[in-house]
Amino acid sequence: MYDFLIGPMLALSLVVFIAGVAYRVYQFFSISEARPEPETNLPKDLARTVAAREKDEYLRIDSAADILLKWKLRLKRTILGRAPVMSSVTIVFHTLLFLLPVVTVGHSILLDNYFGISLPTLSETTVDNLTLVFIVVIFFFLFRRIFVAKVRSVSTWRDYLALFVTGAPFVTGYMAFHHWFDYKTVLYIHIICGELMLIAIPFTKLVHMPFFILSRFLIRYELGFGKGSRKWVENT
Amino acid sequence: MAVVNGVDPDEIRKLLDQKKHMEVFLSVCVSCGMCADSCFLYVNRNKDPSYMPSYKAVHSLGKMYRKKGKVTREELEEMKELVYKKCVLCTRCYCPVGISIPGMIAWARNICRSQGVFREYDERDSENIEMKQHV
Repeated sequence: MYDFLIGPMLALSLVVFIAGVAYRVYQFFSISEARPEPETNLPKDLARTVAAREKDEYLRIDSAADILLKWKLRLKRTILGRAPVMSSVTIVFHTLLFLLPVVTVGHSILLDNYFGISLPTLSETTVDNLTLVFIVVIFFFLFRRIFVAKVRSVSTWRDYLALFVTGAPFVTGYMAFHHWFDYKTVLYIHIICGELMLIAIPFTKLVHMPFFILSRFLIRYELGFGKGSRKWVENT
Repeated sequence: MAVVNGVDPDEIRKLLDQKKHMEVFLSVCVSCGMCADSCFLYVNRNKDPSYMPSYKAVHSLGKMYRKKGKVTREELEEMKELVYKKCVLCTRCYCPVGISIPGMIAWARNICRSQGVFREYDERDSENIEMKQHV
């Protein structure tokens, strides 16, 4: 059973995950098209001023306080400045989500066995405490979804499914590490949950993993991160 | 308009199929509720969730996609209020995932219009009367 779970089953879920994400990336490129750079006839320094004005950065920097004010204004234009609590919790959540599976000692040994890659790890107590933080944040999101009216009004079963699929591997991993209940059964459930999460990424709302990066780095709009070289196809 | 009081699902379907990216948007929306505070109507209407940008998009265009265009006249009448009265298409709403919400609401308006559901400027609703009394 164990050999099947960490052998063929893992390979299958990785193939489904990579193929699904590749399809989603392909889908993104098929519904967006390259956007030609808008032509400007303005002189160079004027064009720069216009661009700065568009970004609300028409501040004259004379002192250190001005630099601080500039960064304060820059922060105000982002969601981090608008909803600080929620955004910091989200950043912690997503960092741990990507970090924890990689730096766990047990996973690192598996990776070493399969591919001969050894990645840096954190100590077991650190990972344990960070997992507890992660579980607390998962429940924060769950209670937010249940009790905050604006989030509840748009929640469907798919949102709860995404939250459940994300939380299950971490909760079962925590249980397995502390040897709660029967160790072997919990470990098997943990592996199955982890593989289900990989499979679920392209098909559930977790698809925002590839979509978020592509959309905010490639599509041009005022809150985008990148240069914005693409736009949506209007009529398909 | 072929049918007077019914709805033409095929026409809605044809219009929905034109916007592939909006279908993707709706499957990607994580319903985080972060777009709420960017809507000035939401902020000024006592934080009523039905004024939230994602609520307006999910319950109008999202509903049409979910039912594959087979919406009833009553549902379109409900959407009328959402897409015409509760949104002014100011395009100031933001989305952490990068979804453009106003486009979806504009397209929902387009579909409503194709089925003969228009904005009614002369209707008198309780909300407006209440606001006039305050003035």
